[in-house]
Amino acid sequence: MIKINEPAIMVRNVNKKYRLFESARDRLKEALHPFSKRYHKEFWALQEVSFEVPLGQTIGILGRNGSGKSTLLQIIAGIMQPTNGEVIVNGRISALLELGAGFNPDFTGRENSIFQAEVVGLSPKEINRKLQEIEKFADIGEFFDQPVKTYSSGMFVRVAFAAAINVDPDILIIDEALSVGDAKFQNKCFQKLHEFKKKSKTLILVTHDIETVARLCDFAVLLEHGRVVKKGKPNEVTNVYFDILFGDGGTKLITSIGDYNIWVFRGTYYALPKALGEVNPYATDYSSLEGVLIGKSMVEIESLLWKSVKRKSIPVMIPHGLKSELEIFLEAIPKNDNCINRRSYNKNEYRAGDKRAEILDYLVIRDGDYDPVEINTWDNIKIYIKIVFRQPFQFPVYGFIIKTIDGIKIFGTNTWLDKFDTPPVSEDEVVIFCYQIKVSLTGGDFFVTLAIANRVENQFVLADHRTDIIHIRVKLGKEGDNGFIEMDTKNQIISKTGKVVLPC
Amino acid sequence: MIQNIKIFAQKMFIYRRVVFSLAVRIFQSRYIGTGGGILWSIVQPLATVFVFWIVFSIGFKAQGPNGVPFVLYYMTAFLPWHFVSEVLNASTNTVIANRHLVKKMVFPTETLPIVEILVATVGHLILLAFTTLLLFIHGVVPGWTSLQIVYAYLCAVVLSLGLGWFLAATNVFHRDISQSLVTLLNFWFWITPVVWSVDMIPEKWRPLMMFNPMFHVVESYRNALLYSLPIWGDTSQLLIFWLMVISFGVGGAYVFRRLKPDFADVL
Repeated sequence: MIKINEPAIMVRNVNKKYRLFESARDRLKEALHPFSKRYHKEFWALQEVSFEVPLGQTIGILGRNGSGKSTLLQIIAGIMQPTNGEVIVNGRISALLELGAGFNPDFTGRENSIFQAEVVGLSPKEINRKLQEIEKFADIGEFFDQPVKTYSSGMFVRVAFAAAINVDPDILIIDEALSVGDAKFQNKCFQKLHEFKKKSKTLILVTHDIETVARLCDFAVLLEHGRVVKKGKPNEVTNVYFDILFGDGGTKLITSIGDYNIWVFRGTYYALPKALGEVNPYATDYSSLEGVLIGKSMVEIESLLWKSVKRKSIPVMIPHGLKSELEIFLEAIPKNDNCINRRSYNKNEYRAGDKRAEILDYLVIRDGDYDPVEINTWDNIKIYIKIVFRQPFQFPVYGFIIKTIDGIKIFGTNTWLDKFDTPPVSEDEVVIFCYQIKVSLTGGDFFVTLAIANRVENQFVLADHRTDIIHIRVKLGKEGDNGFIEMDTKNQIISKTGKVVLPC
Repeated sequence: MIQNIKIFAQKMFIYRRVVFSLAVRIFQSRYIGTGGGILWSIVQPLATVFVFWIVFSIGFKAQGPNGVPFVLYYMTAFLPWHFVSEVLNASTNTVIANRHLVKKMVFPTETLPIVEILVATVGHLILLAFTTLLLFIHGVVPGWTSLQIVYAYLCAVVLSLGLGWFLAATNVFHRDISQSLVTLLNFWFWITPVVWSVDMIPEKWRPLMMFNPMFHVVESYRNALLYSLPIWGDTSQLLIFWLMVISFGVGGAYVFRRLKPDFADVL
């Protein structure tokens, strides 16, 4: 059934158009219209999606909500037809698009598992054998022979997952199903998936969880607005995914220098020759365009420009000079809130205060790395905050808080608590305040709150309190759930014989 | 077309067990939690039979043609009628009712009307047993012609399959289909000689009956069970029936195949 020398799945120029109707009547009108007038709006859920999944590899599909992942999976699974393009599948697919989708609540776990196995095409003998595995894997005891409607949601998920993975498919598709069940069961699922991988079977995972992709996948595809924006090694793809998650996901024209427009797109800077005109960043791979320069920062792109211009010996004005991002930050006085343009900005921040002072901008710096979205444990970072005072403050207080993704406060301080003298400020004054922080956090997502207050009569009067304004990720240094903070630990063994071994 | 039939037959073979257990599931789930269980599948048709028997046999003193007791005349035709209308009703809603199979699993939806045929067959067999009992009571002893019931059943299946495909597919997009089906079936019931006899209509209009495919189905059942006549008595009727039914089948399958790719989009 499986052809050994061919890829497990070939996706070729797949497009999927949805017809959106205002009402059911419009759908009918369009179907019956004698001159086939169009009553629908088009929505392209997928555009020119192509990739191959080699036999026995695990591929991760990443993307934000609504980027077309589920549609793509449905097409691969053969549930939905592409509008054009083709998908060639080599082997038997089991799709976990929704856990327990085919389950009938009135029937028992056993009956539902049998049905699931039958749909995949197993023979009664195989089903009998698999059923024991399923029962064992699900591990819900007597409930296996009770109607599914009596299950807790955890039991339901266990049986559904067990039924899907134990039917021995050649290709398994899992759509965000792993974040279910308790930690022990999750672990069991991961082990099963590893086993599955070892049998050189093909696995397609769709998930939001970057760790899962990094742990299990050989290859990843990133979808955005229905297009493949990046495919390749998992870590390369997850990096871009980060940028999309953190940034606005779109392009921004920063400035133009000579014949070049400088764009920033997902944290990478591009100098595009003006002759190219408008370029749709989702449709084009910038690096394939001729004459395009790519850099990690404005500084880099400017120096690259400088070089390429020199080489061609065409005199070009470079108005910005070679200023660092920090210098630009320190000089600029933005009229409007510039925080929202930062990559690490969390648009779900909560803002409070009487606005007698406003946080205009901030900049996170780690060793010349500006506005990073991912840092390491023990990095030294600086957070610059730019504040404009609308009224004079006798005793301004600057503060910040670091919280986990669950909202647990890990650390918070302010200049009052630190007994740091802050000079009074006058009306319309712009102040830049800098915190230096040694990051003693373990891996994970963290949110930083920035605040400015006035100390009046032994009370803090909040002027601008931007809760969770910065979203920053600390790279996982070591495996395992280590809590939130890293402590500078040292190891020591004292042997029973009394002889002391001191490694430190 | 031959190719398509072959593909369909292959699919049916591969999924034979799924089709069968889905039918069992549908049947079970319909009566799960009821005390009467399987009996409920014949309570409703028998109640209908009872009402018609009261009204026609006792009320109107109606007689079947050639002195056949009305209840036998009626029952032998109601048997296939009930089957076909059950299948058509169920097929119309089958894709929608099983949307989880359509949207979330790799499932050959074209087998769904066949599943419904299997489900309806259970009730059909019970009703057949009841009818046979009724025939015995009235002293009608079945001869070899009663074996033609298999052919008659096949006619009913092929007819309802083609129409079932058409209804199942179109109803996904236009739910009006299932609403109007009730009315249409009511009309169809009365233009088919179930409670009345063809002798009642003028001779010159009688050939028109051949264009009602249900006529042949009903007559085949009666020939097999009641009259003990061979079904090939009326060749032109037989020919027209099969021409119609095959074109329904091909048309229904065509419509289903055309619309199937869009099911997941609208469900």
